[in-house]
Amino acid sequence: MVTLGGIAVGVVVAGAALATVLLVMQRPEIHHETVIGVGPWMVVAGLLHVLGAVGSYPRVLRPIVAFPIGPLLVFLLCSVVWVVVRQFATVRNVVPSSGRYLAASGAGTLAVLGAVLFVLTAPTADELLWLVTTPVIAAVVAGIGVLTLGIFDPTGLSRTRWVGWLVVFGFSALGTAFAVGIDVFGRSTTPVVSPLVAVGAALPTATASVAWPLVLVSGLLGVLAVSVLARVADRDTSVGLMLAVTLTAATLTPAVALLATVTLR
Amino acid sequence: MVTEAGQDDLGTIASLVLGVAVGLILAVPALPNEQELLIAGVSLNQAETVLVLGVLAIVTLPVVALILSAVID
Repeated sequence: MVTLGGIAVGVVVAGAALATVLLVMQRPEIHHETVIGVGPWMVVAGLLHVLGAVGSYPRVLRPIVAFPIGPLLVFLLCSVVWVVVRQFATVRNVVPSSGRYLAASGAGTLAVLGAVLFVLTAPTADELLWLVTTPVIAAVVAGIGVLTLGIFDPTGLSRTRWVGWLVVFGFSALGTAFAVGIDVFGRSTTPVVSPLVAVGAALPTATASVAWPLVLVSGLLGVLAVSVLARVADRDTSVGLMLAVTLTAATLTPAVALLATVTLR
Repeated sequence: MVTEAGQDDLGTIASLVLGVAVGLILAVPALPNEQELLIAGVSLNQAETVLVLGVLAIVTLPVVALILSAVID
């Protein structure tokens, strides 16, 4: 029997497929700024998942705001807004500024979603502290990672620049969110991360943190990914940048969802 | 004559407004229907909460726009 929730999921999946076809047909130019501009929308997808868990959505809407359909819904909305604003630019005879449009619309959505989530969860000072410091730690780790890449692979850094930092940030944010969840909020480990936590527990630093190797390894994986990405972008820039968007979405969105879940309990 | 990219402030503001509208569409169904929310010590129903969030978003738009201009350009 087909439920209303199932129909809603079908509509979102079909809409996301249609949006993909529309974007392929339009062939908008993708620049480094475009990739950076999608960043706020990736955070929106992560927060929407948490809002689906703590909010009072009607039963029919719950499947389309949670993983794995939630990110598709955000992609659909982001694409619609992007296409509309680009057409608005064409009508006014202005060269479309894709990165600005994506960043501005994503920031607007993020501001409202974040405010509602804060109102619903009423976080304590301690929770707020970790909600703010975790991305800062991840950003610093990503910065160190990208600068290290510049020493060993200068071409890779010059090809990717801020996009490279964003990709490493996605990886390090996921590792840092896991580490904060385990070390600070006592979350149980998963089979994927438990070997690294076991390594951390065997080290003399275990009294302070058992999950810090996760931060290190995630940062290294991010640097490795950027190095490969730079080679792809060297052959085809658009493919390389699309790969960068995909990689960042695959790491940053779950990182935001995980961090918000462990801190805004 | 076509305006150069990176100078489209009207398009950026339109994007922000559209983004806020999308945010309200996504977030409003998550608000409790029957119980009232307590925001800064004031009890608000769903409609009042949406109004407050909308006004707050519009007030913060210039700040966000300034930060975005600095970051993207």
